[in-house]
Amino acid sequence: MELVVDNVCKNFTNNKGTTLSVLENINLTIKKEEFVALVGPSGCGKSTLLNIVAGLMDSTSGQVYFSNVEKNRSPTMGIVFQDTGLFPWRNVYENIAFGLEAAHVPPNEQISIIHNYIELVGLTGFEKSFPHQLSGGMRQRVGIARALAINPDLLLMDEPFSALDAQARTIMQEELVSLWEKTRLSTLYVTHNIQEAVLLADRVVLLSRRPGKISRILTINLPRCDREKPENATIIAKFVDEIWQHISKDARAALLEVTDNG
Amino acid sequence: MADVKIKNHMYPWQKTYPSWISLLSISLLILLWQLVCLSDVVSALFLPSPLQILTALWSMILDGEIARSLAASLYRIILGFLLGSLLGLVIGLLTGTSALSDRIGTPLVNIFYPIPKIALLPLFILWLGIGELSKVTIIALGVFFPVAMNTHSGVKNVDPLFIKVAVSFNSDWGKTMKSVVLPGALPMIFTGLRLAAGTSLLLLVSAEMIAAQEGIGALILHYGDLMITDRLMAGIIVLSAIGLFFNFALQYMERKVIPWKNF
Ligand SMILES: Nc1ncnc2c1ncn2[C@@H]1O[C@H](COP(=O)(O)OP(=O)(O)OP(=O)(O)O)[C@@H](O)[C@H]1O
Ligand SMILES: [Mg+2]
Repeated sequence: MELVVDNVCKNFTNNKGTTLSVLENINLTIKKEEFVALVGPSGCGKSTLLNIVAGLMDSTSGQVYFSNVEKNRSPTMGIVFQDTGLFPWRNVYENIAFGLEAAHVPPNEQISIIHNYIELVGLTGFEKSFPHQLSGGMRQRVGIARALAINPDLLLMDEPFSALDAQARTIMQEELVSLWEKTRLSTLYVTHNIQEAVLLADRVVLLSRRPGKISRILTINLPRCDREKPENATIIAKFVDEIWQHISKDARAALLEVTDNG
Repeated sequence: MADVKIKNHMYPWQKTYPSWISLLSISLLILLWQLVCLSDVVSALFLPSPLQILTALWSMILDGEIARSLAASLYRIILGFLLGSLLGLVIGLLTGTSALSDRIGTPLVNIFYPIPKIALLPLFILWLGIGELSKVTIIALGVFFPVAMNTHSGVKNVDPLFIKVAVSFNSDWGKTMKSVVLPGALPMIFTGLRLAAGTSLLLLVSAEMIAAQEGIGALILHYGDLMITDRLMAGIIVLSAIGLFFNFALQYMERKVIPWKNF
């Protein structure tokens, strides 16, 4: 099963009637067990693309579909939101249970699944805690566990670690690598952190500034677990540099535009 | 050279006092009242002393007058409150979630909301008779509006991200309502319920004064006509007790139902 993004365009029309072209002719395939990172300057349409893929927003033209789906199967997606979107009225256990409840998994089967994922993200002992009693990193881990618990066919993450401080972020990146190696879910990961994209992804997709177009796709052909090793530091640095060269002009222009508007 | 000590300038804002002070101030007020009455400045007909009122209340409790009136009043207010808040909840949830019911329902609510509900009592008596039904209906109607309007805006204020989360897990409409929209709107719903409690008491007494043989409102009016002020005041104390009890019950429920609210 693959996810295919086929010629997707997206325009926004504001209340004055002017249209803003945000995405233009996006073509992308996420293969089975592939981790794709989407990188681009602020405002280039990363979140928009992710929302369209997630089925939370209409595209203006083009379509998104799963190809080669077995008969009688409807593919599922797990989404990790930037602002976690944890329900304040549900504790850790109940938050993770939500997706399973919605999928009508019998309650007695939910228990072992939930405990398994609570252990996987290292939150054992916090089952009864409410989100406001957790740190930012812990909340994000609950969000990840909630998305993973339904064993989705595609995992979507929109800058899941951007609200974390630098140390927590590094730790969470490492945890995500080991977590991903255990589950190997097809993943679309949105970030503006180049380092992060190079450390996590099989392929890095670069989006150009508005209108967002795919300007380049890089394949990081280094085993994920070897990327932190010192002997590979130069190769990683080269990838990072290459991406940065490619998008720095765009990123500067985007930043200037933002300050102009402000 | 001298040391300059840093004082806590927030002290006046952060100061707290023990709760017995409230009790003390109420007791002092009652004592003052009693003293004024003892000094014979005002006639007992206009302002009976707290002791007189309590005595009157006690004798009314003993001869079963309070129990009879209270039973009649509680029956009306509880039934009216339950019916009105249930209907308000359903309509508020509907207009808050469905754009079509919003288009249809909200103008209707806006048209009927400003009408002082007690003005409709003669009409209801005409339609439903002078019995319990017209009084229960008027209370239910008064309760309906604050609950419906607060539920509506509570639903509207649920973070769209939560809806997105629910939808992304393929949660069906019922599940999303029950597990996301309703809990998200609960704090506002309780605000509506508390407002409605005040309204219901107001309407209860008005309706009973206009058209009832029994009930606390009728009792107060009766003793007003007879100029038996201490018994009249005893009725008012019962009203205050009903209001306090209502508030307490709602607060208790709120704490039970919204345990996550202590951010
Ligand atoms: N609902 C909307 N209506 C109008 N314009 C929108 C809307 N949502 C997004 N946009 C515009 O679309 C563009 C892309 O937005 P998007 O959120 O996808 O950017 P992004 O790449 O995720 O940026 P960031 O890295 O800052 O999160 C922005 O210029 C934004 O102004
Ligand atoms: Mg974004």
